[in-house]
This record gives sequence, structure tokens and C-alpha cells, in this order.
Amino acid sequence: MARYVVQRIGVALLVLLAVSMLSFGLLKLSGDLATSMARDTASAAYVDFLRKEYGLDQPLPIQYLRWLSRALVGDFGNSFFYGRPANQLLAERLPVTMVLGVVGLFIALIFAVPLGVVAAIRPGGILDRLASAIALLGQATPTFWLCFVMIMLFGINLGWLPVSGTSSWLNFVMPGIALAYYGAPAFLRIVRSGMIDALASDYVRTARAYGLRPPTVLFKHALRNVLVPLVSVAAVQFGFMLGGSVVIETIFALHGVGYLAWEAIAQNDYPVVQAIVLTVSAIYVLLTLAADLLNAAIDPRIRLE
Amino acid sequence: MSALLEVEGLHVDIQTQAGRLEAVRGLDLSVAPGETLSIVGESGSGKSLTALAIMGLLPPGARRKATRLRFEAQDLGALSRRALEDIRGRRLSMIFQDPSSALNPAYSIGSQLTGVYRRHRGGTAAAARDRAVALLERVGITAAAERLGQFPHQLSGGLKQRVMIAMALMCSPALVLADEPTTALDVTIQAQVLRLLRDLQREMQLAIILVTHDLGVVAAVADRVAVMYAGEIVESGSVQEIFGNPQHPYTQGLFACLPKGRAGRHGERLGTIPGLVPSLISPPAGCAFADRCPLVLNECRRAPVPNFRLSPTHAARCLRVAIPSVGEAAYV
Ligand SMILES: Nc1ncnc2c1ncn2[C@@H]1O[C@H](COP(=O)(O)OP(=O)(O)O)[C@@H](O)[C@H]1O
Ligand SMILES: [Mg+2]
Repeated sequence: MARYVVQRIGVALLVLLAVSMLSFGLLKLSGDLATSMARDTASAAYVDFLRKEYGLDQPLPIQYLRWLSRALVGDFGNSFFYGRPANQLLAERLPVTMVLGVVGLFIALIFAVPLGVVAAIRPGGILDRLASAIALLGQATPTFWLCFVMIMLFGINLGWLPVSGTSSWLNFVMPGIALAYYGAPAFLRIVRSGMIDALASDYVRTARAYGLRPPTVLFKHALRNVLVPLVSVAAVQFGFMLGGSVVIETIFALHGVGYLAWEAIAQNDYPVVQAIVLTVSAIYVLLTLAADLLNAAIDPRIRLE
Repeated sequence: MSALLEVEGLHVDIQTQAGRLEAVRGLDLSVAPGETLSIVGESGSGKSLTALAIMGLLPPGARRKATRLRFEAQDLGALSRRALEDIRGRRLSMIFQDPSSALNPAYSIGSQLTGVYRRHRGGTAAAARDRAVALLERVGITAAAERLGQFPHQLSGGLKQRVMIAMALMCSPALVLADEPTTALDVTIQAQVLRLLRDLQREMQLAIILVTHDLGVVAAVADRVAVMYAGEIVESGSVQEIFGNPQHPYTQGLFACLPKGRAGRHGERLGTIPGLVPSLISPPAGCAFADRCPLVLNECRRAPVPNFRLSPTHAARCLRVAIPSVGEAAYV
């Protein structure tokens, strides 16, 4: 187990290092930073000054190491647009996105896991076809359309839910549903196919041969063996959902990371873009690591290796 | 003694891509309390489906029909699902061929053993645990208490099969169906597991249906033998009758194909008789063995061959039995 954990953490660190190099490379490819920082009106001497000041005249490896050592302590520089440290901006916005992501993940799982289980009981049966129809609908309907329908119905006509802002937990209900709608089909598919395999397995036949009741067979013996792939997919899907939240945050005016990223890209605000890319990548890598560790806790074959 | 299990006219059909396969075709058998009946036959003869049909565990696409299917004076075919679940694992149990896939990889063996016990007997976790330790010790597993926390992948094949045997016996059933319980094991381990089964059977007055394609296994543990071919029992009798005086040419062929003088020794697989098993999608009208039989008569192919009784315990489904003048099969 200890070896497994160390190995997973090592892999995660390597991935992060690669991401940082890529991110730094993209920054370099995006043009001369000194020029973009100086704005159009600045003199050539001022641009030179900036270049020296920020170490942009140094060899690339040195620049990278400096940049990395600052990034490691969360120093990405000031936002060109807001004039405040990029990491502060990010720290303000991150909780909103995380809450949205967790709410969306939770709703998606609550919905998809039971549906996947009942779909697998009789593949090709009515419930199974109903479940695949729902999944297909979920994938075919654009998220923004669902958002607008919900806003019109629950926000405007019925007036049950606020349509914008982050003032209460009610603000997260519609965006959470929209995000879940986007993420659920992947969970439904993995649970359904995993359960079909598990229900056809010898160990489920054994459980039935010893008279265990159907709920025990289904939820204890079969579903347990679907958790490992489900956790792995959930980690990846959570990352996708964070990405997918850009549209949803914009529609519901949730001031989260997605919204910030959209602003920063539109304004060539490199420090903020950098901070977002690296932080989101780090979250992604951490999620994968968490999934691996969780799977080790779930599956004795991983844990006891 | 009245029978523990009575099966009459058992049919199993299974839907395949090529059509409906008649895998078991009118099978009769009975098991008395405490006895071992061995069902022996080549792979594909319908042994596993017979066992699964008795348990009510047929795979999807398979259908069971029987004129009689009684266990401990209950009609298994008429029981509700819940009532059947109450019998399975408690009075009627099963040991599977491959213990590596038959145990759940996600749960410790202790959890799997006590789960079966508490399902049927209730009681405290501690009582179930004590029972599990006692049975693991009885099936020859040392340091049983420590083993409870181990997972299937940490045990050898032989140990896993011992755990399966313990699990089948947790609630002291009256009958255990063992489907090739030693086929997946090393030869040396096979003998130990068989000896264990035989000892347990005497100790617990257990009846066993032992499914195998290994004549050595039959000789080692069986009281009675049913030889199965293409979904039918072609000959049945006591071990002495089947080994000493086989009457059906198929049974004779099985012995003839073993190296001479070694029949009945442990580890002997069924030999190969020339020819092919007929397709069971449209089975022949007469004897299914006719095409491979060196003693075949025209009558054999015409109509179903009845089961001829040779002694109160011995019967064979062969016309030659009714026409004794022709003598023994040419294999011998
Ligand atoms: N799930 C299944 N689907 C299709 N055919 C099957 C299935 N299980 C068994 N059969 C067929 O039924 C026949 C009997 O199988 P089985 O009872 O497993 O034989 P045995 O245990 O004697 O080797 C074989 O021809 C086999 O191919
Ligand atoms: Mg078999």
C-alpha cells in the first residue's frame, strides 16, 4: 500500500511538472510579455526596462525556474486588468466553482447510479431503454438550452429559484442541475455496463446460490465491484464539469473560475490565465490522485499489492 | 429410505444463436440422505446445466421443465422466489468449479462466510464469526481466525476451494451440489480436497451430487454413478456396478480409453471415443450415441431407447442390454 501511494504521488508530481513546462511554453509562445504589459503607448526604453525588471532577458531555463519557484508559492504576478495579484482573484472565485462542481457531481451521481443499476437488471428491458433514452437526451440537448428552460420555468414563471448571483444556496440549484445534466450520462453508462458484467459474474451466482436476497446481491455484491471504475470516471468527469461550468457560470452570473477565465482570455490577462491553467491542472491531477487512493481503499487487490 | 432429492423428466433448453439447444433431455435422478451420487460425462454433456437447473440458477436464455423436482418433500418448481432463497445456502448448497471467480474479490473471506450464515441463521456477528472459524479449521485451514480478514486474491486455489466448501457448509445443508470442484486445482491438491469432501460427508451426513469428468474422482468418493451423454443419463448404478460391469457401450468406451489397468486411479480424465457428439439443436430421434457406437443396430436410430433395468440399482439406456446374445462391446 505504502509503495502504491508513493508511486501515485510521484506520478502526480511528474504530471504537474509537465503541465508547468507546457504552461510556461504557451506563455512564451503567446508573444513578448514586456510588450503586452507595456501597452501600445509605451516607449521602447520602457519596454526594455520591463524586460530587465521581469528577467525576460535571461536564458529560458533560468526564466522557467524563476517562474516556477514563484508559481509554487502561488505568485503569478498582478492581473493586467484588475491590478491585483492573480492568485487573490483566483482564491475569491475558486470556492464558487468548487461548490458548483460538487453540487453538480452529487446530483449527477444521485441520479445516474440508481438508474444505471436498474437499467442493468434487465438489459434491453423497458427500464434499460428508458435510461438510455434519458442519457441520449442529456447528450443531445445543449446545456445552455436547458439553462434557459429552467430559468424561464423555475426562475421567472414560478419564481421559485433565483436566476443569478451567489447570495444563497438556492443560487446553486439550477446551475447544479445543469452541470449534472452534462455529467450524468458518463456515470450512467459506466454503472450500467459495470453492473451488467458484475451481474453475469460467477461471484454473483455464488451469492444467489447461497440464498442472499436480491438487494444484497445487487448492492453489496455487484455494485461494490463497479465502484472502482465509477470513482475513476467521476474524477475525470469532475474535471470536465469544472471546464463545462464556464457556460453555466456565465449564464447564471456565478462569479466563479469559469467566468474569470472567460474574462481573462478576452483581455489577454496572462497572469490570470496562467494562474487558472496551473491551478485547474493541479486540481485535476489531485483529483486523479484522490481517485487512485480512494480506489486503493475500495479494492483490496490494489490496497494489498 | 425416502429420497432427499427426486428429479424426473428434467429438460433444460437454452437459446443460442444457432437455435434452441436441448441441453438436458428428460433426466431422472434421485439422491438419498447422506449418499454421494456422481454425475460423470464428457464436457458439454449437460452436467453443469443439470446442477444449475436443480438450484434454480440457470443462465439467462435457459429454461427448465420437469415433471417432478422435489427436495425435502417440497416442490422446488412451485416455490416462490423468496422460499427458494430460504432453502438455497441453508438446506441445498453448491460448490463451483472455479473458486477464483466464484468468490467476491471485494470482500474478505470472513465477510463472505459470515454473510451466508447471518442471512439464514441471524444471530450475532460474533456467533457467525465463531462458526466461520470452526468451519475453516474443519476444512483444514490453519490460523483460521487470522485468515478471516484475508481476501480471495491472497489465497491459493486450493485454499480458496476449501473456503468455498466451508461457505457451502456454513448452515449444515442436507445436499451439496459440487460442480467439478477439483478441476481447477493442481493434481496433488485435488486428492486432498476430495478426501476432505468425503470425510465431511460422513461427519455431517451430507448428501453430495458430485459432477465430474474425471473417473478417478468418481472411484474415490461416489456411492452411485450416473453416466451422462448428450443431455441424457445413459447408465446408472452403484460404483461397483459401473466400474465392474459397465453395460452401455459409451460407459465401456470411457473405461477402454483409459490406459489399461489404471481405470479408477485418481487423475484419470475421460478418454476420447472416436466420433462427434450429435448437435443438440435437433437431437436424433433414437440413441444419441448411435453414430459413435461400435455395436449399433438399425433399431437404435428409430425411436428413443428405453432405460433397461439390470438390477434394482443398475440401469442402462441401450438396446443391447435387452438383446444379451450379442455380448460385450468391441472396445473391451
Ligand atoms: N450460457 C450458455 N449459453 C449457450 N449454451 C450453453 C450455455 N451453457 C451451456 N451451454 C451449452 O449447453 C451444453 C451443456 O453444457 P454444460 O451443462 O455446461 O455441460 P458440462 O457441464 O457437462 O460440460 C453445451 O453444449 C454447452 O455449450
Ligand atoms: Mg460443466
